[in-house]
Amino acid sequence: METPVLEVNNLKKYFAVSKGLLYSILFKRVDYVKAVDGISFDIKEKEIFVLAGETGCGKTTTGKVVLGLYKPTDGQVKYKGFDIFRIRRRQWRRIRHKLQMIYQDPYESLNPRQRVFDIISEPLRLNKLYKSKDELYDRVMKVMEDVKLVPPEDFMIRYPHELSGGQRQRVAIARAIVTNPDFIVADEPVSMLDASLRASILNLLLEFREKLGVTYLYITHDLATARYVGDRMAIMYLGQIVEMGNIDDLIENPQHPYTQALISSIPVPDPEYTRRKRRIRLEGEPPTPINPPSGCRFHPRCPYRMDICEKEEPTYVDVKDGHIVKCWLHIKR
Amino acid sequence: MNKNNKLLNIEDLRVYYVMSSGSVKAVDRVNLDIGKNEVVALVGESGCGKSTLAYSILRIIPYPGRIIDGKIYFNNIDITALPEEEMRKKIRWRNISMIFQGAMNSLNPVMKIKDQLMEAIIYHEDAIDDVEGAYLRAIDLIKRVGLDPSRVLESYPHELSGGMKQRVVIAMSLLLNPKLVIADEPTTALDVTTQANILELLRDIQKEVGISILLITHDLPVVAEIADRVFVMYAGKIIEHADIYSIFKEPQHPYTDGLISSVPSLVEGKLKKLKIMKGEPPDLINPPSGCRFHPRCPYKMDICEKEEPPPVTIKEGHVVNCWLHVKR
Repeated sequence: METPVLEVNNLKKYFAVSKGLLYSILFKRVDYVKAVDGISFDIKEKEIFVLAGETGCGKTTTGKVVLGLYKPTDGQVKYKGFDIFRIRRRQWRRIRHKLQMIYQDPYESLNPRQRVFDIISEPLRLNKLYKSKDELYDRVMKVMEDVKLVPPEDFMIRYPHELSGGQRQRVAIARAIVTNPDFIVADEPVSMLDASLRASILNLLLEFREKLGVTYLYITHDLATARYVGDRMAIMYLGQIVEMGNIDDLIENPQHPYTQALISSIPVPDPEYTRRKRRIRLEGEPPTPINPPSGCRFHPRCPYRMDICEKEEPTYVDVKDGHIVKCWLHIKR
Repeated sequence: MNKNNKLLNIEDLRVYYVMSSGSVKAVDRVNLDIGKNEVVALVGESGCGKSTLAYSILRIIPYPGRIIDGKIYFNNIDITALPEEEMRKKIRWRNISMIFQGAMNSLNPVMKIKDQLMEAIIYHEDAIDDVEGAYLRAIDLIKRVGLDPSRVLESYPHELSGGMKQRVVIAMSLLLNPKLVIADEPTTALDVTTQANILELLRDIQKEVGISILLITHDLPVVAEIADRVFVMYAGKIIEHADIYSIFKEPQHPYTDGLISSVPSLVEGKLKKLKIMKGEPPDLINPPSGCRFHPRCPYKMDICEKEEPPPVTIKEGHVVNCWLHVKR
């Protein structure tokens, strides 16, 4: 069996909540935001794996942990078989440039005082991935053409404020692919862009998978764009994966009540269809991840709640060819 | 005076931001109408002038913007000619209210929800003495938007979730029983499940209370969900308008078509080949000559650069400004 590009095992990331010195002395305890609480998945080569969920479900934290930007509280992240939190620093530095990230907001992720050339060439300079000035220049030129910032001579001397939102996101993508990475975390790469520009950015990501063999972790709350680019998808709720599987199968036959509600809430750009569809309404909003509900975390909002849901946490059940769901409704008892 | 019985009628409106470096022609000869009990969507990308158009209906265009010419008739009264005092007393909030973009984040953080709601009632109704009445009305409205008054009224904004705050903002817009509510991106910052609840609420209220809504958004799926009619705006101009079904099924302007075909659909997934529009929207200080879309248009002809296309009626209520549809 081939090794997956990325393997995540029982990953946990808690953040301590500071309530002041007095509180911690008096009550002798620290509260934690359990942003990610025991998730596992793996991503195969050239696959686009989507991590989807609503605000605060832990999807962005997961993306940062798998790149080593946060240290996990518990669990493992393996890149091509190497545990990235166990390997030696020197070795990690050697492979670090093979993992890259594209951030959500191109207005904030580019240094306003650097020119486009310096922004894109920085990963090469930091990792000393070039032999001569000429090579550096050529590689930046080439990558700018790849992301269609043409003519490159024209763009490379500009500052971010001289670019439009779409162009900035192209710079961000160029910066991510200039090191020829194997794996990119794309965190909501199109959510800040206008509709007419989104499609071209999405197609750019798909193109780099074909041309350069890039594997993606695509983080989003927008299931429509996710379905356009993704192969497999995991739905997160309060720090846990509640359902995971082939993206088409998951969207057409959602099994978890939360996924069902989420999918039925999404408007479709077809007035006849979208007004006909039946929507599952959810009561309330996701609770805080500081003290998540007992048992199944979705139970306070679930329309099919049973007694056991409050008491025990459900396990994963494989409903069909690797389509797994974490719900008591699917567990035979 | 216009003669139809529309609630709002905008005729040849021009709103420019006049600056030393040139005027930004944010709204340029725009015609738009809203009927009674109607949800009209104004669709366009960032910087196309859609928010400026909304501000001009309430006459709250930020400096240095101003109405250059054109008329805005509300119930057959030209509100561009009203003195500011009358505008404030009779039109703003009493007849036309607005849900501002990101309004849920501009609730006063040090005032209880109760006080924020009552303040608006008391000042607008000139009923400084009738605190009791204002309180009852606040309770009423909070219930109307599906919130629990005992939980919400005594709370400060930071104690409420995003969805709850958005409901408070909607309640605020309904305080004085307006006839028209302008909603500028009312759901953009919300999660999809919350967004669906808010859209449902807006539609229910619109039907029950019988108001009209002008929905300003760039989000086509949301438009498909609740609008009756759609106006598409590009670079300061309305380029097409029609009923909701015609716009999505038979878009006539290449821009409308491009916009609709570039939005991924949850249902179609990878089967829908997304169309890519080349280029980006122009800047509005020196917009392109002729048809403003011509530099990006796949069907560009010689005339598009030279002359602005006149409006062409495709069928009853479906109008497009494009040379492709002009018989010459």
